[in-house]
This record gives sequence, structure tokens and C-alpha cells, in this order.
Amino acid sequence: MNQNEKELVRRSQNGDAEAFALLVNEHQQFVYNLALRALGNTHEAEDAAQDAFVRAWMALPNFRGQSQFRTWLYRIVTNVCYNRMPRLRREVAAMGDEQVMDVPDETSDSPVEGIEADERRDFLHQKIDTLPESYKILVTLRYQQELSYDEIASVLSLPLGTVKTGLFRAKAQLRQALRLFEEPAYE
Amino acid sequence: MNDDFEFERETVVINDALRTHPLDPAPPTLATGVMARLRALPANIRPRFRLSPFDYAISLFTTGMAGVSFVLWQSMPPQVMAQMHIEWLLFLQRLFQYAPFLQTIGRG
Repeated sequence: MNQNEKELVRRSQNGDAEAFALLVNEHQQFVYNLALRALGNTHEAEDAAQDAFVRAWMALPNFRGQSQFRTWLYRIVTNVCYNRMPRLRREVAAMGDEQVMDVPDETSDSPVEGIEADERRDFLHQKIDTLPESYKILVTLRYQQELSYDEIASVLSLPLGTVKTGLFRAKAQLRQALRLFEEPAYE
Repeated sequence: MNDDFEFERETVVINDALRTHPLDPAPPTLATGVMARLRALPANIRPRFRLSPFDYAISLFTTGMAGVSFVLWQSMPPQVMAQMHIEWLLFLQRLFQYAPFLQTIGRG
């Protein structure tokens, strides 16, 4: 959390609505997308995002800065989504925490560029959209906001093992889809 | 070996797709909607700084400990006070005596 955001949070805690409006502007896109990927409906996602911001405003006096503001806010968003879609909470919890191979994804390699690479990327983007909501939440937090496994576990109130398992399975589904996509090229 | 290379290549491609998956723009009415909802909140439920039971427990404990320390200090017999004073002076003396050695440790 940068100094400017800390100051905005402090002012918001004192009831400064203008400071809170700046925080809303800063985080609205990701909050909306998180809700959209969890709920799958634009109107529902907008309403959930607004609800989450109002709850955050109400709960701000209890925010102690022990975690980052964004992880605290995302926890509120996911709770709002859980309340609206109770099966989501069950699905997330049911991912299990079996031992999975820990594949590091901090690789510096960049994929080959070109028309073929663009097509492959677009195909994978479509596949990401069709992942189960529980996986979509995980990959969104991990790859769009670059939250650590620990932060994701804290946001979703899940054991660390469940987060790793969920991400591993999400990527396994994408890997399977990628192999099918590339199959004709090898024939 | 070839399988490992292929697996690594797929991982790079998948990670790239996950990182570049575009976010939808937030609806233009989202932020205004939030502020409208905040304005509609009754004044009595505006956020106020509230202390949790844990805060009360900590402050009670700290105050209690300070109070007990003060009472003990006041109720100590003069002989014990004198003994403590002597012990303190002896401690300082030993500290200065070992100061060069401590400094050497400090320098590593």
C-alpha cells in the first residue's frame, strides 16, 4: 500500500467521502471484474461491486492496516459473492488440498510472438472464460493482481494447499485445451 | 527431456495467457452508484472508530500492570530499596568493567 493510498484510507476512516471516492475509482475495475468472474452476470457483478464498496466503507474503522487495503477489500468482495451464490463457497472449499506438483510460474521467458501466438492466446483467453467460477477467482487474483498464494488464501479464507491445488487444476485444464488446440499442427 | 521442454513451453504460454487476459472496463455508473448509496445511508450508521474487546483487554492489562508496579514500588521496605540501589550500582560497575570486551563483540 503506497503512502497516497494509506493517506486516503486514513481520511476515509475519519469519514471523508471524497477520499473514499478516490479509493473506489482506483479499485473499481478489479473489484468489478472479480465479481463478474465469480457471478458471471454484468448487472449482478455491478450490484455486488457497489455492495462490497458500501460494506468496505462501513467496515473501514475496523481496518488496522495489518494487510494491504486491496486484499482486505477483495475479501469483502468475495464474501459478497459467496452470499449471492452460496454454491460458489462450497465449490471453492471443495477444491481440496491434495499434494500437487509445485510448478513455479515466475518465468522470465516470453512466448513466441506472431499471428499464431496471438491466435493461441485468444483461444486460451476464451478457455479461461469457460473455467469454473472457483478457478476463475483464483487465476484472476493470482495473475491479474499478482497476489501471493498466502494473500489469496487470506482473501478466500482457504488453506494454502487448497489455493495451490485450485491453481494447479485450473492450469491443467488450460494445458489440456492447449494440447487439443495445437494437435493439428503436429500431424 | 523433450517432454520436460514441452511442459515448460506450455507453462510459459499458459502463464502468458493468464497474465494478458483482459479485464472488462468498470461500468461508468459503478462509482457514482457507490457514492449515491453512501449518501443514502442514515447518519447514525456512518463509520465510527470502534474499539474491539481485545483493545479493551490490552489496555486494561497494561493499566493494571502499571498500577501494580506503582503499588509494589511504594510499598517496598527501605532496606530492599537500598539493596536494589546497591545491586544496580554493582551492575553498572560490571558493565563498565566489561565494556571493552562487549565492544569487541559488537564489532564482530
